[in-house]
Amino acid sequence: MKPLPSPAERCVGPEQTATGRAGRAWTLRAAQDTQFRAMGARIAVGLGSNLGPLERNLLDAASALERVPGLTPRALSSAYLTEPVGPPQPAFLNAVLLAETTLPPLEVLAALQGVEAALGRRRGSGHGPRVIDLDLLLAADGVVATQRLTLPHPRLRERAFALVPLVEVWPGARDPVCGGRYADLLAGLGRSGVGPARPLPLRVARRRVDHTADLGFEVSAANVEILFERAAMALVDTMARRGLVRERERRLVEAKGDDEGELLVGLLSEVVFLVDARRFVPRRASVLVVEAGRARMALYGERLHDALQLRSAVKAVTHHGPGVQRVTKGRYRATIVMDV
Amino acid sequence: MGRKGKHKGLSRRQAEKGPPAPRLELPPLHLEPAGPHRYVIRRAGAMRTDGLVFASARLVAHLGRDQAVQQVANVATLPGIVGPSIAMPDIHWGYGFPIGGVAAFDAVDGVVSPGGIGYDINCGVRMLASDLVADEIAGRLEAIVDAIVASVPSGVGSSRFDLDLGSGGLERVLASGASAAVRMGFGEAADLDLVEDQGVVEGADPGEISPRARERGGPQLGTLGSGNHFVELSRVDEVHDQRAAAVLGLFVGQLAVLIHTGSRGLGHQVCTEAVAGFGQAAREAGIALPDRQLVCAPLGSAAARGYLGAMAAAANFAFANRQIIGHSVVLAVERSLGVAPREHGLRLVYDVPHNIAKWESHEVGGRRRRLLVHRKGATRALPPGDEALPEIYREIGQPVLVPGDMGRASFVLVGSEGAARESFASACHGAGRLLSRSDALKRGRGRSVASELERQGILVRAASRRTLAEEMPEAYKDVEHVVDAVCGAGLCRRVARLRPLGVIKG
Repeated sequence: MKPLPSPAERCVGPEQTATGRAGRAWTLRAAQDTQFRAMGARIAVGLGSNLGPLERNLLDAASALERVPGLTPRALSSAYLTEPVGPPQPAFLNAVLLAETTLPPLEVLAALQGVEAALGRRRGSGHGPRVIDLDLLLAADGVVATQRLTLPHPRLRERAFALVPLVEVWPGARDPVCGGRYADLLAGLGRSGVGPARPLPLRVARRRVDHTADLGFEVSAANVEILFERAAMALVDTMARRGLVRERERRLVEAKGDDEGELLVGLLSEVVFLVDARRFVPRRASVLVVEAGRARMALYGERLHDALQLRSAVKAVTHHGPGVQRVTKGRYRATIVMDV
Repeated sequence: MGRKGKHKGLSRRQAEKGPPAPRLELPPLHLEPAGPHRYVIRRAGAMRTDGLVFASARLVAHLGRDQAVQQVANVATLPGIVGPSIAMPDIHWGYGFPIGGVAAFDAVDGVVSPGGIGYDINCGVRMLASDLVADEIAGRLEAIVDAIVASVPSGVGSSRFDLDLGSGGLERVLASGASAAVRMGFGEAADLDLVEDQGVVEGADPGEISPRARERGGPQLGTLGSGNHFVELSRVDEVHDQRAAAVLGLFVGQLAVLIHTGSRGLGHQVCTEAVAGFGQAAREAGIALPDRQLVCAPLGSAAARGYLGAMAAAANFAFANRQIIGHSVVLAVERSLGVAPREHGLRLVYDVPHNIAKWESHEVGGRRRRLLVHRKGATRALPPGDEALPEIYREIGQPVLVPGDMGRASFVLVGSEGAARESFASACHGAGRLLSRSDALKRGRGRSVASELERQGILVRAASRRTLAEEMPEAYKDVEHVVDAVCGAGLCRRVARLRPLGVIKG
């Protein structure tokens, strides 16, 4: 076994010798802490894209990771436009996804590679432009050194484009080897080459459906999952200024129904309940599953507070109107009327 | 007038000029004039009965703009409907049922449709009258309005954690309505006589109110909410029927209060859950629907029984809500004017639901039948002499409270024989929207609706500017036209006209 050289070696700790064997446990320390394992290990995944619709690529990757069994995303950072490293190529859009997982590290790595492939990334293209690049950056208290995977990521300490979004969503993150805070490290390194934060996700394109007494909207997407996510965000947009919401907590909603229209109205009714009864305002939605008779969606957001005034109340989401339609092959449309 | 006659569209201009065209084409449905202030949609296709719209030519001209007429026809397809599918002059496009819709169903073959009641179960209007002369307290109006704002939580997501229901308090509210609020110290037992059906819908089953509905609505008891809900201070500007006004204790110049709200999040959640669950019930009963929002369940089914129990409990919650708010308003007036109850004389005139279904007995084709009457954006309007009326009002008929927009007027009417004959003793509930909310917002851009109203002498306090723009007077039809039509059709008689002085909007 020949661990790759890592900056972490500068602060080699006693744990390191116990890790590495096919990544069965995150670390010795983590393995011994049963409570920690039960909650799942906290990990940070770096997302990057410099080919095609960059924001969409990052959001698609975040949604795809949502559907990996055993992996539970907790928060997505803002996106940052960054200068490329290596050969001349277009600028990257980078972000970091914080997640909890019960999977061993190598399975997480395999899942990341699966998502890259599904989104159209061709491996082996070296450092050239890519639709999506997913890197396992860090695990809380996790040190891994194998041929296939090194944790923390060997170049994390020198990459401002990864450290800036990491520190945004995980301000207290520490190097598990030497215990230093990445925030301090970043302060020394500087933010050169990293643009200002660009909140993700941005606006959902929705068309207002005119209804005399109430409010309606129409959204469309290439598949039902994205359609549901967009409808949920359009619903929240009528109630709150979603741009001000931060991703602090994750809530799951579930619906049953006979067809996609019923499932969508069911999920949206749950969103209304979360806002009106639990005072939780979502910023981002991610569909976990849509299958016969059942749908589940994760919502990221925070509890209502003074700076987050609701702009209008939605009493209910109705079944009125055409609901979910397949317009053409690969094009779905949802029309939703709300009682306000 | 043969049915094969040439149909002709009626433009708005023509309508305002006066006489209605003999026929009106509203493809794919035809509204045919059928007497004074009446239009019929002839039974066709899947319809089981005719549609009957009470309206004037002027109001009918507005109907071409949306799908309300189609919705009247859709309701006519529901199983067990008795008599026509009816719409009031303030009809506008709803979801499933039109707003302003009335439909009665046979106790055996009929159905209950949660969409025919609406998400805001027992949304309604309560009116208080006083012994105060509005002009004499004009200088204190702002103080009164501010005191009401301070004591009645309103706006999006408003809640009232200060209201201690104690153990079993919510259960009592759900089971017994307004009287539970009186027991908690809000108002007096004498109020109950002046609330429709004593402020309680029989058959309430609090056990059918889900934990989620309780969680959502419980903390909202005693709050106004947002949107079109309001508390309004008004002046009685004109009395049309001296006798009825005297019975109701109304006089020209008087300060009155209108309160418009419902069952808040509790009712919304009850309806949401029922609509979700009724898909199955409708399928099992083999009921084909023109609109998923019309889902319904046969009246004998377990789904229908469960929903009716929950709907009644939610309606009771709304009665208690208006009882609490009414009492809070009285206290706010006392505090801001520094007067004793004897001096202000604020008292309940009546409290009328307009989103509800009730078991009632009506004469149809010469025999009395027990029917479930759905009223969505419509009020009950019992004629004089009806035994369900409190004794003091029995000679004049049921008071019908018809709030208009916040800039023009509101009306007090009473039900008459025509309503008993033709509309299952029902009448209109308000002005009805003319503009969509987004159109209203567009028109409100760059304007201050509040200062425009202030120039007309109307003081407005709203939780948000957006609500004010959405609810601007021109977004609504002129309530005067609605009242003309409902009285012209013989469903009601006018008693008094009110003018807004101060409006608290959620």
